[in-house]
Amino acid sequence: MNRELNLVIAGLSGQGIVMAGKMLTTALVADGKKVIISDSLALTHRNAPTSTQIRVGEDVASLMIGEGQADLVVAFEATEGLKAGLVYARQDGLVILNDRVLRRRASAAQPKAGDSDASPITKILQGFERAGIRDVRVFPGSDVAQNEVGRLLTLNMVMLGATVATDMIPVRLATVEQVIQELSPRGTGEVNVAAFKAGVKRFKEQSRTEGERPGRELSTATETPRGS
Amino acid sequence: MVGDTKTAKTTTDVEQYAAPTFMKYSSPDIAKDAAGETVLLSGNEALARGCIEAGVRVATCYPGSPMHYTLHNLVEAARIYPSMHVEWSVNEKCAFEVALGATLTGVRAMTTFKNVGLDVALNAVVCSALDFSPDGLVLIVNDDPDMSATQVAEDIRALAIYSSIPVLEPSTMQEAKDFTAAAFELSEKLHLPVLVRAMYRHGYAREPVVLGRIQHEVRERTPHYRAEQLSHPQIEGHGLHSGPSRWAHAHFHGEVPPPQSQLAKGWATREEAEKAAECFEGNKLTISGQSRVGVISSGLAYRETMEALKNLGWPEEVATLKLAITYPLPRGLIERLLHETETVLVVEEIEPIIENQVRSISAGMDSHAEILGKLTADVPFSGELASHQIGPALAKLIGQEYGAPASAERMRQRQEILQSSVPGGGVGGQCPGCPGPAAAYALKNVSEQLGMADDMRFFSYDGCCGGVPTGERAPGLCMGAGINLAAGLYHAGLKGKQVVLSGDSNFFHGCMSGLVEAVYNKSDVLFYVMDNRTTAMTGHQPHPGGFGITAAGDLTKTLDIAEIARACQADFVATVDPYDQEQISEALKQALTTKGVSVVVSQRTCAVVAQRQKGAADALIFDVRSQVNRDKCLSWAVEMSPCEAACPAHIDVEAYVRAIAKGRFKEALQIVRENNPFASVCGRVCHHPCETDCKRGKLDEPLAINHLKRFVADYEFSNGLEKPTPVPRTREGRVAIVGSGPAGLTAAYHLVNRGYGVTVFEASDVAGGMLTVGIPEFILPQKMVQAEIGHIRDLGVEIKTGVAVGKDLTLDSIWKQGYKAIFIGVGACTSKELGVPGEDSPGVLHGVTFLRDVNLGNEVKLGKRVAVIGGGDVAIDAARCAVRLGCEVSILYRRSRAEMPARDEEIETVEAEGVRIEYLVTPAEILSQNGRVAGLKCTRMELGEPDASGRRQPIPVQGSEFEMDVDTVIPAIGQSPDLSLLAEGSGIETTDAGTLIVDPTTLATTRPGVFAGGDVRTGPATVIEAIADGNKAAASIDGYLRGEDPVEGRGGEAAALPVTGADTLPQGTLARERQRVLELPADKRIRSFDEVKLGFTEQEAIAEARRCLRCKICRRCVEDFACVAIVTEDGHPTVDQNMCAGCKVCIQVCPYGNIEEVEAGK
Repeated sequence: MNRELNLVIAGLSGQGIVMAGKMLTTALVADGKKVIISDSLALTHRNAPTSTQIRVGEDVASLMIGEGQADLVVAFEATEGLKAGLVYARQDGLVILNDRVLRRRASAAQPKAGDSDASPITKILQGFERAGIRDVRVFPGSDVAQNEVGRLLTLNMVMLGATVATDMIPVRLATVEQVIQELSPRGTGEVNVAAFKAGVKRFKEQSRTEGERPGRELSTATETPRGS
Repeated sequence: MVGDTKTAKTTTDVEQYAAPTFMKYSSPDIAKDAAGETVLLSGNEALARGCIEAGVRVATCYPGSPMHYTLHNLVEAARIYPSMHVEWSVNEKCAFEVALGATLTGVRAMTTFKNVGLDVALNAVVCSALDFSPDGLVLIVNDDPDMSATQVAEDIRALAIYSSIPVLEPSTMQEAKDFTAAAFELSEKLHLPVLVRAMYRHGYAREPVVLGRIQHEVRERTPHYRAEQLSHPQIEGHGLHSGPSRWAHAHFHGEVPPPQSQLAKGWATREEAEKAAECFEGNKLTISGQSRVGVISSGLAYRETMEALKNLGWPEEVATLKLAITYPLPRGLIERLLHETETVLVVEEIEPIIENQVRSISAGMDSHAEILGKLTADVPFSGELASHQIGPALAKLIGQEYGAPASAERMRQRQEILQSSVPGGGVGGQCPGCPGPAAAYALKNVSEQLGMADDMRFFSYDGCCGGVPTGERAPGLCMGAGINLAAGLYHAGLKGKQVVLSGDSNFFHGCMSGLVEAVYNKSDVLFYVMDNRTTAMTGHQPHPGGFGITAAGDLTKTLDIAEIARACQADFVATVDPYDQEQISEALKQALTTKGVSVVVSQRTCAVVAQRQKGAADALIFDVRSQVNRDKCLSWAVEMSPCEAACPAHIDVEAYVRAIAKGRFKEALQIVRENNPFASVCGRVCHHPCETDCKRGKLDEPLAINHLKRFVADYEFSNGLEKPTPVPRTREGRVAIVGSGPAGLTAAYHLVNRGYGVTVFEASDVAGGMLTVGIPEFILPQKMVQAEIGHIRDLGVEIKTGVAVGKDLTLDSIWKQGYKAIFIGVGACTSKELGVPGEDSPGVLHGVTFLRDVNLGNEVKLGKRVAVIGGGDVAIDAARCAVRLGCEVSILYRRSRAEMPARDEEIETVEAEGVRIEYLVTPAEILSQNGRVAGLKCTRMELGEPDASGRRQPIPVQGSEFEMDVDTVIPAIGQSPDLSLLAEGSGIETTDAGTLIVDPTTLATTRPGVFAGGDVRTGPATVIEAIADGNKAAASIDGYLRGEDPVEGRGGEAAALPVTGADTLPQGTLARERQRVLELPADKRIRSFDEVKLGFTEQEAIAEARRCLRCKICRRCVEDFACVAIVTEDGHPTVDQNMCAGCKVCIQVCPYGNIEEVEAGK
């Protein structure tokens, strides 16, 4: 049986999603995995919806993850997380949300009649609950980047740490760290590796506090007599 | 070559700008000699690597997503191999022609752009193939089925076929590299350009790729001009067609007779191309003995087909043919598949290019295979193909079910949740500090101030500035089109200065000839270039107007857009800084008022580049931030705008005016109706204290609020009233309303909306009270009144006419019928007596009675000469009716014009209609003769000391008596309520003036459960005051029936409320004339009862609504200035400190100076 893993990373332009995806994919290749990645870019360089889709498995052919097919959705911004999660997450998939919510442009933020007073993140969680997607973890990625690592720009590395810390990605920590060193621009290797490690650590701690989740059975594809 | 002329880089700005910041999809390792190594490559990298391995010498590109990253990679290669020339071309035609020119020397060249780029270069592309038969020329073009980065989902293969250019379609990244390298070989073999069709998604996807050998020897070929390839046969005269195209074309199709053919060595032939297609290595047929169904696909569609087949468990019956070359088709492989299967499904992106060729092959052979695809609706034309679209079609063919991986129902539910949980839109927009919105705001502001905004149309084609000023995307068509489209509008005779928005790169790309066209042919346009000094949206590629560097990072000249415009002799040219709103506004004012071609260059470096130039990527451009002063900002600090406060019913005028300004008329009416069910009535008869207090009045003239209200009501009326659905009864108690005037019906309207059962008792045979019987048709047409009453009735209010409480019913009997509360709104309909002799003569008609009879069409006996006594609305209205009935009319008023209760406007109107007003005159006796009025004895008056009402008391002048020759007298000196409904011991107390005593806050009478309002409380007053009482009473009755404290929280209902903070005028607001409504001319209107005032047109209403100064919810910063950092908190503007770039434009935008500079981090 071939294991297949579908991962979506979502957030906003300027958050380093493309770089995080490229690093993780490079590490997977280095660890001998068959992998494809496809980015969806925003039209502007800052604060517009951006995502990337990573598929690992011997038989993956399409560059796109089907609706409701992602085993893991990682969001660098929570509202984008809700959007990506509702479209892509499997019913039993895991969703990791950075707890920051970008304030939307004023004209769009007119409260609608019947809006509850719930905070944005609570509303987002309610959205997942209504969709019956239960495994949603709120993760303080920005907080770790800003206060533990000392640079908010390392958010993508912190979130990458959380992603790898789920143990769902068939990649070795050391490989990822090495790739981060190699691909980090302009001498940011050290701080990026530190941020990655901080992300791994915080996610593991949080998982322990919240109770160890049961071993995750990855989706399987039928064995195939021929390749693509 | 270029390498020799490389100059040292000097300035820091350029260095920062040229630094390799494009690492996402390009890599410095792309050109390394590492054959056999497996690396992760994006499509862009793979395509570039293919070029590098093939030894490309010249590579050109105009930026367009995603193909420009291919060139970024070649820039990296050129750093290592200096013989390479890599350039950002000015446009695609330049790019293609430069590459074509290079191949004439025997080196390999490549040009790349997106689908629409091929359109720009098409003229040269079409001619190149057969005229030049170039060797080693490759075009890499991407199609974009989802239109992710283009305005059209065209299929470039159609254009390639049209140009006789072979097309290769890679599927994987490995193929992207391999096919590109092979394309150069193929081009040299066939003497044709070869096109590699990548898809948009290829550009930004990555896969492991095995690298190949770099053909250094090919790259380092010595260029020599290959004239023989171009030496076309020329046969002159004798009627023979001379010219190269004919021979090349004939030769291509194998039709050139000898001896010409010998001249055509090195030219392309179709036969060679078809042969090459047959044996092109990437084609792959997988077929077995069990195959019944064949699938033909290419590119990414092939990957989706494989995904679908995987989900179907790799069915044995399906054979697959993957096409690497899709023009010409490998005929042999297609024929074999058609022979060996029963059904063939063609799966391809966008147009049925393969499908049509397969159908044509099938038609020429003995095949019975059924061909399915787009033309049979088995594969969609539009959008990016996905496995879930192909799977079901395949499954059907082999009799299987295609199990959807996720239930469609569940995904639909999720979509619904998504719609309701995510704040709509709102993200994206420009980056913080972007100069675009600042430039756009200035244009919007200036054009509105000059009153030119309504006649402006925008054309735009540019990534980062597209559509900002209008809030919606301006039509673009294609790059460079805007200025010509605008000129077309002008030459067609359309009014107004047309505005063309362009970016800087777009200017060089396609606008310069349009600029010359506009100047030469004398068009009237504003050409507004938003110059951020880089091709920003596609990733900050340099261009001729940028920092003076080339793709390779060499220093070059910088071309100044304004200088070019001056050289083109534009009528007005200025370069301005959008961060300086005063400067840019001044330039725009001049530009907009200069006839002819104005060019304004708004120049400021893209904020993202500015950040990079400053150093670390997270450094912001400036060290300051903006913040909204919440103590002063109108939105935070002002509770009510002056108009809303002045209105007795406190209608949210600003909100409905804003809705009108945006053309949302229905929404505006909804807002009026929250506090007033009589928009149409009020819009005609209200005395509009809102306009008196309107802040705009301090500047020029108040907003025409009343006419706006009337407009939205009329708009609904003339567009077909939607009958409202009755409100379901959700409350126990039933409420009785006595009197169907504005007070009673307003109370009924709110109570029925709150779920109560409501019955209105009306003594008269018609509902509406004074609205129906007291206001003449030419002021308030009855159809409008009846429409609004009908609306209230349709909501579920029961109106019983002809039931006089006090006669047919008593208050006690109403209680006994089970009503839980009563509202008395019987008005003030009893005319006051003059108290002079002769008042009972025939020929004396009291004002309200007269108006009532006229309105109801009853017989009215008027003489020839009428004297109306009084100075209020009833007197004026009665006089105007009498004029229309053919009488000579005078109004007698005992004080002077200054004290007259009628408004100036009314006095002017009545005088224009020929009514004479006698001031300081009072009747002393009505004379009669033969049982009819025969004259009026009057006394002249003079003004004494002010009385209790503050008005000066009239005092008779001794010996001033005189007689007037009149035959009809209409006293209209006031009315009082008819309180005959109050039986003895009703428990309801009255004032000396004959009105009811009620609590001023709750309108409760002295009897529990009985409330009263309108004229019965106040004496004769205005419609809006009656409506305000209706609002108040409904709230009180609701509270009473719920058993709540009726007084608590009612402070906001006082008739006039204090207003704070709304008195300053916004800076820079120019006077703008109030829109006038048309009126019937006086000589016409006195001959009929037709409505005198004609109301606003849609356009006038919007123009008038835009005069509103927005005293409460100013929101200029959030609505007019599209800065991403200005967000709202509880609906009020605030600056998100994490986003603010410190450009300080919003500080200049706020007309009240309520956005302030703060230190970063505070």
